[in-house]
Amino acid sequence: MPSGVYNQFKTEIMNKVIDLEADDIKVALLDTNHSFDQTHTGWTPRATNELSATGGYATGGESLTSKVVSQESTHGKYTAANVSWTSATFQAFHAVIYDDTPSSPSKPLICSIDFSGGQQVTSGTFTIQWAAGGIITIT
Amino acid sequence: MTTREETRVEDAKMTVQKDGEFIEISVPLTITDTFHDDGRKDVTIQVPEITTGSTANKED
Repeated sequence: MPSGVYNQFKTEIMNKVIDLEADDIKVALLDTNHSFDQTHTGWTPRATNELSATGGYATGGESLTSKVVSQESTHGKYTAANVSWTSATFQAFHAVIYDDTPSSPSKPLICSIDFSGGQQVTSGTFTIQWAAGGIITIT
Repeated sequence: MTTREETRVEDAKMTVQKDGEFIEISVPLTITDTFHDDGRKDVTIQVPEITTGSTANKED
């Protein structure tokens, strides 16, 4: 299952609904039943396949911190601090980034990240380390 | 306490748009498992940036 950007992200950026710096941008972890489709809209239907609130995971996911949108020479870039779950015991297959702030449309989707299979953490720390080039770039 | 790290690079897929069509390309996904001698295991996933827009600069 590939990673990718949801069309809703492109639309709601243009509608000034998604503010990547000011809004509460969350990253949630999902199970093997999640399937990326760029036409999907809204976090709530995707939450069906979110990990359960056990083993150090809280439903809804973690909020991104140190969020920065910057203009580069050839593109726009969105970065944030790496995200970690501590004292964790779970297996995650995907991450979905969404905007938890807007109410209409509710919780628009930004992107889905495939972990290339189930990644197991056991009584440890599960970390997503964003690329130096950014979480998302718009060219 | 001793630990053992195992790092592997997975061939992950990403959907990008080229000439109006959605295509899948391969991108590296680096995963590091850290095994502790008390049975704990950490995972660090280095994800590539996701590019969207007029060009799909991840596919070259």
